[in-house]
Amino acid sequence: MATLRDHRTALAATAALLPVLIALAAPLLAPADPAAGHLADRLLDPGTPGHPLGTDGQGRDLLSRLLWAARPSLTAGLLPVAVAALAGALLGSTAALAGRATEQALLRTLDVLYAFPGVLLAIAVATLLTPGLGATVLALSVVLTPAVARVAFTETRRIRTAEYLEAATVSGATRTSLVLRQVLPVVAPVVLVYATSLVGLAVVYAAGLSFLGLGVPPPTPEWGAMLDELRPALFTHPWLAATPALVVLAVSVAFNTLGETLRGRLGAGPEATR
Amino acid sequence: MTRFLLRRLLLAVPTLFGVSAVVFATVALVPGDPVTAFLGPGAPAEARQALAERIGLDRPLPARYLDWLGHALTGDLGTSTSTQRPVAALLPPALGQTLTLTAAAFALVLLGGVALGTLGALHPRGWPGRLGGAASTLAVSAPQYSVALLLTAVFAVHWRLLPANGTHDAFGPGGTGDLLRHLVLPATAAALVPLGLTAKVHRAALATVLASDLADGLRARGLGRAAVLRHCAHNASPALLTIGGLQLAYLLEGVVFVETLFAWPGLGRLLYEALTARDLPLVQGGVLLVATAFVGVNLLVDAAHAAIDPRVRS
Amino acid sequence: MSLLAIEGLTVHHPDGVRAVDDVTLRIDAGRALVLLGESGSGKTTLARAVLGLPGGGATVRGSVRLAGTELLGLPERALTRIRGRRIGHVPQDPSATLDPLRRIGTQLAQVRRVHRLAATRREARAAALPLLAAAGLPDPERAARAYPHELSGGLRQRAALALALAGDPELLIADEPTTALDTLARARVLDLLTTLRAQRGLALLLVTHDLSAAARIDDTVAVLDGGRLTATGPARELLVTESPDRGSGNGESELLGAGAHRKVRAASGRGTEPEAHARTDSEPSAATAPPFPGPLISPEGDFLR
Repeated sequence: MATLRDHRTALAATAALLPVLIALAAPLLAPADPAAGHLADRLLDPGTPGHPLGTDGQGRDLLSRLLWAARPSLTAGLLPVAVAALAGALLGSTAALAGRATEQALLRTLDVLYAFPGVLLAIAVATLLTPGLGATVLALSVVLTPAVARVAFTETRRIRTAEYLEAATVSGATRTSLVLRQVLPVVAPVVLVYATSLVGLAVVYAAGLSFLGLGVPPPTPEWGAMLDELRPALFTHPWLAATPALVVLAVSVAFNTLGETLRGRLGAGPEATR
Repeated sequence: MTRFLLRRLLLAVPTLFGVSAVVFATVALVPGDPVTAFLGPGAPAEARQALAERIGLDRPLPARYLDWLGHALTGDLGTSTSTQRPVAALLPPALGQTLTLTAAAFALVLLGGVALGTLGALHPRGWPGRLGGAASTLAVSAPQYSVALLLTAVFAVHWRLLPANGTHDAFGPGGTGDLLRHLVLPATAAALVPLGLTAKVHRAALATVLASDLADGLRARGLGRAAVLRHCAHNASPALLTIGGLQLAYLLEGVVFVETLFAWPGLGRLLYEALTARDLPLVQGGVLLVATAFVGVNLLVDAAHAAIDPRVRS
Repeated sequence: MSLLAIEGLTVHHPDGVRAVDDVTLRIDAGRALVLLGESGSGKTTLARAVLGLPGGGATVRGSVRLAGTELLGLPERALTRIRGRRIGHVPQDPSATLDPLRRIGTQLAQVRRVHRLAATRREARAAALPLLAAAGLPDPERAARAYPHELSGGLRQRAALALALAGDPELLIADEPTTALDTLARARVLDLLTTLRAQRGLALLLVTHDLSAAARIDDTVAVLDGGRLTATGPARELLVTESPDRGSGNGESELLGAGAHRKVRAASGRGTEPEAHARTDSEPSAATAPPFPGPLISPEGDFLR
């Protein structure tokens, strides 16, 4: 049983690692310059010699653009999750270990933040800043942090009531060493696994923001931006327009499957709902 | 029951105040000065001063918040700067359209989520369960815009079965049938992610109850398979309710992409357009409305919870 | 013919553990058999196997006959007509098995309706009150209206008992029905079981780890250890042998020793009998006798917690 599980986790990890490797190796893999195109070659169908996935509205090679686009798209998906994991873990466990007043203040703030629509919040933050990768990362970090904080808070609270932590407090351990030695080893894996299950969501949100024109500015290739660029071709070349949509879907499935298998190994953890 | 609901209602009040304060503060602290935005960078200082006084920008922030809140409570949300129409007049029709879309999508979420989840809980190891689990993961991972584009490519462009945008045909027959035809693609695109999540949560909850002493107790009474499943589903429904409420809220605000792609004149699209046009009064009003709806949905979930479970009531 | 005849019953769990190993037991109509064993001895698995609910993936071999009808291998649909109707089940923890979302009266009425003992809803509801009274609930009307969480632990156990009686069964299987209760409530429930046997001609299979319960029921006792029957015989004979342990202040703790079963068997003249049999024709008729005063083992004499 354990080996089958290990197998599945390894498989899911490989599937999630693949897009990252592709992003790193984009210059080696891409058959053509993602920015150069000839208008004579515009909207070529998939399977055209030299353009295995066809070309976009400006005659640029679609495969090359999709490969290069992995860089900003994955950065915008992974970086906010890392920021949110750190900030959320810190906020959540601090609130759970601090006094009642701090705890209540944080919980009420989370309530208010939860009442805000996530997608709209991201759009709002991205709009108010200068569009770009930085704005996307910041917007998504803001959206994801409360969810992580809540998970970290619940987990810390759970072990705070556990007896060994009480024992450590009685024995006079300082708060810092308490957090480092007792809380961190228990909370970190839970937060990490929860964060993994947020990556798929973050990639989807990030591409969504670019799709609305709030992400990386053109002509940099990015999956969401490519969706938007190819949208006019939807009615004439539906399969060309659908390609970036399929790529985002596949990457999201890969990361969600990894998150799910990890959560299964940890025991039923919290489901990513934001 | 009444007392329980009243208490929840009272608890929602501070949340709503917090929400309104955050809405106001975010918009007030936006970089970029509305006076410059309105008059242009070259305007003389006196004109700037006059405008700032006229719209009350010279007063302290808390005073302006109370002022705005007072107006909002009486239904006056200000005037949209991009359309020059009262915000209070723009929001209701958009909300109506969003509610129609949300209701259709939510029906799909509940039907599909419960069906997939039940299938998985009843056959956890067999192929129906595995297939159901894979379908849930796929649904959860499916971005609205990807699904919207793929559905349009297949059903509207390739097969020409369903309309790709709008709420009704300009020269079509109109009526409910026409509306439903236009709802199919956007509702499906909006429903997939919440459907997958609902299926997962319901599957886990139902499987837990089916394996519990309660299920064995029901079997020991001589109840048949269908009756045992019915009782267990009833006992698993609080989890379904919680996730259902979250997903309803998600649908209310999360249909921006679907509304944009299918040209559905709802709240999400209105807010997106307001944001890009920096129409701050409209943004304030719209976000306040959505956030209030959020709190309302939570209240509704609590009420339904109490209606189902007598332990919550007492 | 015995009401319940278990022969060579063997239950394998999916992990390969043999929870019940070649057990043979008989209970005549109206008689009681106390299945005594520590936790993990297989006694609960045995009781569940009789109901056709051995747990996921378990394989059951041997024979379980109820008034001559073989229950093993019976299709699920036929089993639902026996569970609750001919065999009532009193669970160990009623707060886990009573449906928390339905009133006690509704749950009782449902059992009456499912087993076609009531033609109408009204009739089924009316039947609930005498059942609750029979189970010893002081205020049946209030109990019928209550949700399970609104009753105290003792009353909840009685409600579960009423539910087990709702199908007018011939056999009652009670699985540790008293563990969640305090000493006084425990004694009352045990006496109630004895009364019900007398009034309704019920046969009883009581699964317990509690020696004092076995003494109080005072009929046949069978000891299960590691899935095997290690001793059987009338309660008076089997349990008397332990009397020297009592009164030494710390007597129970000596019973906790690993050799408890063997001690019981070795001291019992009839302990080598390979099968347990609660016979109608044998002495004594505990069904009508007052509950065994149980002086030999203190009421708290739990055999293993």
